[in-house]
Amino acid sequence: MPESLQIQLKKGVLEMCVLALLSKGDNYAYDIASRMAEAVGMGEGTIYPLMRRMQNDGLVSTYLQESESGPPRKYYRLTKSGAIALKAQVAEWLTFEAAVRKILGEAS
Amino acid sequence: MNRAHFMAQLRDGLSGLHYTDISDILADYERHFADGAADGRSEDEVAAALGDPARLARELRAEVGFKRWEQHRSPGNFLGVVLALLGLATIDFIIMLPLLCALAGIFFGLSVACLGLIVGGTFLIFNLLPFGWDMAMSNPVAQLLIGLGLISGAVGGGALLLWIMEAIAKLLIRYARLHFRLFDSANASL
Repeated sequence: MPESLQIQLKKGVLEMCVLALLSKGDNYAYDIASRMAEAVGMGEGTIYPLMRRMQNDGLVSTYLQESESGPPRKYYRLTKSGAIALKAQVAEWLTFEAAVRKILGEAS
Repeated sequence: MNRAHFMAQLRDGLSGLHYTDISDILADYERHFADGAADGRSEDEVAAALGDPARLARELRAEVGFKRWEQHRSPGNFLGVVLALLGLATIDFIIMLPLLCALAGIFFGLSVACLGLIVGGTFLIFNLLPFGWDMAMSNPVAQLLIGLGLISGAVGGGALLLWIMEAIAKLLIRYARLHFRLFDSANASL
């Protein structure tokens, strides 16, 4: 089954993007999901397994907050190890991106 | 698909999980529909954007299974992890299944052997009591020492066995999780 390079790339940076979003402030899943859906075309439902996984890994923590409409909202907050993971992943991404760019530059 | 239909399918897919996990997950998706409605989207639109509830349930089940196992290493929770992984149907895992069965068989055999040693050792010691059966050995001290030796050997071996099993299970989960991430990407969810 041939898998598009784009899907693999997006999948790889999904966690990093969510960490980056949360580093700008606490947020709830619906908002994170719509931003990610708009930016990289992620399926909205995927956010919940992803957030749960990141919570299991200790990258994010949650707290509930009352809202005007409907049940209370679950907010996600970046943990200390989440911030460290973000920093490491961004550094890795930039190194990788620079290397690919260099090769592409040489090829063209 | 409307909200009720989506939630029913999700609930179906999660059945068998712990009650608190199920209600926690369902609350997440209920909240998502509520937020979608506040955003001016129809239930059908939100459900379509969320994706296949059965697939989401499989992934959530695996995530919850890992967490339960990490928090509490019981055979039941381990079985939960294995079933969740089978649900994800990663091909590698199915290929690994015979190997896992063989490993489980070996561990079962060794545990039975440990149990046998403990039973044998206990028998030798109890046999020393005055109301015991015929003396198995001429030297009671030797018999006591051999009995104690068998028991302590079995306990030590059993502890080692548990330790190895734990290490293998950990390795397996890390491996499976890695493949789970890759498998996840193979879905047209992006």
